[in-house]
Amino acid sequence: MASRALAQCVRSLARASARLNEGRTACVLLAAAQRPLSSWTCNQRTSRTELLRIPSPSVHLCRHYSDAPPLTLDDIQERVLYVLKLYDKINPDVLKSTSHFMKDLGLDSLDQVEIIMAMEDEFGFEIPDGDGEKLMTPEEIVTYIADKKDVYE
Amino acid sequence: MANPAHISAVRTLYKKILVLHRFLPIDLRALGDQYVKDEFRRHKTSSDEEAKHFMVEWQNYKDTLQTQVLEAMGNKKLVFGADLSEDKLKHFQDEQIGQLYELMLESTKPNRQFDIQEEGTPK
Repeated sequence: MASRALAQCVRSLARASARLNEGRTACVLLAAAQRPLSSWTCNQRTSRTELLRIPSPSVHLCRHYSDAPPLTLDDIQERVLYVLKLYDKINPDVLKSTSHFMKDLGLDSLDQVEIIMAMEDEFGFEIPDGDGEKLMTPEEIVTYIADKKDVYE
Repeated sequence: MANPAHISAVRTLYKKILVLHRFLPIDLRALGDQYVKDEFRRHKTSSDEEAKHFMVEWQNYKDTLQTQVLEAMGNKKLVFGADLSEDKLKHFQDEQIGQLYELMLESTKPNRQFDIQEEGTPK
């Protein structure tokens, strides 16, 4: 029920986001105008997570996953570690692909939820709550994403 | 509470609230995200009874926000937040009510710099 309602939100996002931006200041409008035109269109191939980006006016270019080069395990690991290093509660010096979020990095379960959400944004697909709770090291995240994206080497 | 079922419920609620915040105007989102993160962490060691009340209130917040996000998506209106009822005001200490009043005065100034709409503050 709730997830269906949320999917409804996502589906009507593109239409409403333009209206939400109407009352913005000029600089924000400028930022919004810089977004690629294609990011405003509804595309069946566009993932739900990518649509979630639209309401936030931002100068960041929207990723076009269908045009991305094929993923490899090394690419996934590199991007996973990059996202983790950006997280302000993680010390990049002690981060390794085998570091446990709770035991080695001192994070709590709420931090881990935020990390899973960041990974969803980075790779453009949703991780169910049940699966997200079990991912406790960067290595496990890489394995999970590779599995979902059918990446083997 | 170290109950695994409770931990799962908290995580799910936390994630849903953060996802819903993505639909808010950017200033409200920044304010809301920070408050949610602070508040959930403040209650990590609360008692069972407190945790129960905590979850009920945040579930209500999520339901209200989801309804309002849906309305905003449908272009019906762009209004977020809700007024505080008289009953809830009785739970506040005098000092807290004073702070709320000052917040209301500040956020309803005619030439406000931000478009922030606070919950409990008339627009």
